[in-house]
Amino acid sequence: MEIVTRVTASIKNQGKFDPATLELELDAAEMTLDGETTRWMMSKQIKTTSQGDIYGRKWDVGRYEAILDSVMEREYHKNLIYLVIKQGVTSIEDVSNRIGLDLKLISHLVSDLEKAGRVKFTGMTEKIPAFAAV
Amino acid sequence: MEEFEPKIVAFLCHWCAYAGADLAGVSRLQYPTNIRAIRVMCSGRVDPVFIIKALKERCDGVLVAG
Repeated sequence: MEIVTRVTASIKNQGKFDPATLELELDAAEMTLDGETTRWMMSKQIKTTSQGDIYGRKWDVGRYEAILDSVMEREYHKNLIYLVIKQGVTSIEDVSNRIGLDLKLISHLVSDLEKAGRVKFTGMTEKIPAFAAV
Repeated sequence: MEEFEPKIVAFLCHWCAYAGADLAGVSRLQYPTNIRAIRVMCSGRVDPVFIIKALKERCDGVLVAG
């Protein structure tokens, strides 16, 4: 009961949640959590931290979770970029203006998305590389 | 102006949190009515995607208890 009262008070203080303002972020988070990479990493956690990986190396839980966090962050950013490109944004700079990530990071992740066949290079538009979602 | 009453989805473990909520009800203890309880057989059954889906369906907060 104390937990319920505390949680209710905390959410009341935070105010009403409007999903429309965070639509892109929620979609990217859902894709990340439902994605193959996150689920594969989650499925391997117990075996890797208790018995070791395929090379017999045992990983401590903290280190594995730190890597899992960084993988999830990378997947989230990739999904965010993919969704923005899917909405019709074509250049790296416009993607950056939309989601606020560093240009270099976006470039790097877009090439990952290209390799995975989720995004394709559609040519140059006024000397600027353009991309489209597949 | 009416006070903001949040809608909170609570995923409650059948064996502990849900039993506690049930006991509170039987004992007529008062607690906030903002909670919409969903009983799960274990809190480990709660997929993080459920939390995102609840937020997308316009609930203001999510509680996982177990």
